[in-house]
Amino acid sequence: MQPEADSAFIRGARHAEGFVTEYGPTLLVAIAGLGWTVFRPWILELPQGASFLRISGSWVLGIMLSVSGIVGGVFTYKRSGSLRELKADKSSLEQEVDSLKDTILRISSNFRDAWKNRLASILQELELGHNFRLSLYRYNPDTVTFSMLGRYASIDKYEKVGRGVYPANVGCIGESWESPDLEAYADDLPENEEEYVKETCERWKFQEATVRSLNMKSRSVYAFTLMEALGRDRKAVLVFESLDAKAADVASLRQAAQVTYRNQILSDLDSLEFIEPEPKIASDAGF
Amino acid sequence: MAKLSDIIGYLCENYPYVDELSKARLAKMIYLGDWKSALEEGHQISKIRWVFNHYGPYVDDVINVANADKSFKVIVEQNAYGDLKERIELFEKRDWSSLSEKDKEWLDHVIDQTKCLYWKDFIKLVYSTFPVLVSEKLTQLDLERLAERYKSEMRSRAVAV
Repeated sequence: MQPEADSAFIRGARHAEGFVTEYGPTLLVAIAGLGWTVFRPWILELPQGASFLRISGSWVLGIMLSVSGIVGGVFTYKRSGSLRELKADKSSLEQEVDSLKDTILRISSNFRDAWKNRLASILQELELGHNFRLSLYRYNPDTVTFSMLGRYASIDKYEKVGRGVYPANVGCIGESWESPDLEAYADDLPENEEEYVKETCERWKFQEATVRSLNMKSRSVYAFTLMEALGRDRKAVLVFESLDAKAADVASLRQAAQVTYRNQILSDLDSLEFIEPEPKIASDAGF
Repeated sequence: MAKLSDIIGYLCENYPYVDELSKARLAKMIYLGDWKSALEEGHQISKIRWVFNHYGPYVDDVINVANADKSFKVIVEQNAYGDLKERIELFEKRDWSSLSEKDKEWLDHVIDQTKCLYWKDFIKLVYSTFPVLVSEKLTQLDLERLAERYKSEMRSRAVAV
């Protein structure tokens, strides 16, 4: 019991110290002000023939209240000095953040390059081979669409932007976004083009022309919806695609998307948000 | 369609912060004007064939016209990072006669929407426009066709919501 009592005592002492540091100077100034207001006549207006005790009492109280006011004032001034320093530090740090953002803006000529590099490193680390493509999509609630933030494929023609903006209610991305399991996949889509068109249109509500114009007719598509850090809101969809059927083990891709790389991607989503295109910004400005 | 020199002149004359009119900013403002006009009227203000280069929509036509036209002065100066930037300044005012009232309306809209934006916010606006969102780098931006696509894929959805 003794160590617990000690730690409770230490915690109490720390609270008291914190309280004195935070409110002590203000309290001293307040005591001095109130004291002088209330006891001013008693301190300064001594009656004729006042006793020694009465005179001493007036002096002691007057001196105590004055000292309290002076000490409180000095500490308040010192504290306001440190607040000024903190404000100056904050302002200089904000300038530094702005300058770093400008630097990132200049280095990553646009957001897509930044994401391409990020997704390339994930795909390479997973050693999934050259038939794979990895893309990241952000949901736009105002237009009920997904915008592609970035894409990487080692084969150039599969890295093209494609449609760039995708309706939210169709495709594997849309299915994953609405799925309670936060994922959707198909890993054995037909090789034959006609069958491919038929199956993807039926399964994912695509228009036939849209499927026919796809530059990569992926036989395996695995989409994973990423929740934000607190697990409350859906944030983005990560999509692995391959030209091969049964191209990967779903469990290992799920592990990669939802565990291994999730925090990195969420962190990058936050830090790159300032250069991320937002269709709403353009539409609100009439563009 | 209007002459590029008239578009540059109108923007230089009416943009309130002349120090900000670098060739990159001016080119992107003209792109925004062309995009606005394509959205509202189905055609660009200028005849520029826009290209999505490494730094968003850009063409050298703007600086070439400014260099060739005696109404403009191209000033080379250092930006905050010590890099050289070319700024375009109006040397003498004249009547920008090839611009229609509608063209001026779209260019005024561009000025109103961008004059308060710092560079990074301005760039974010340009990168958020539909042609940049859906196009490949180093390809030509067919703004008129993209405006049609935008209306069917984005505006109709926004209205429906």
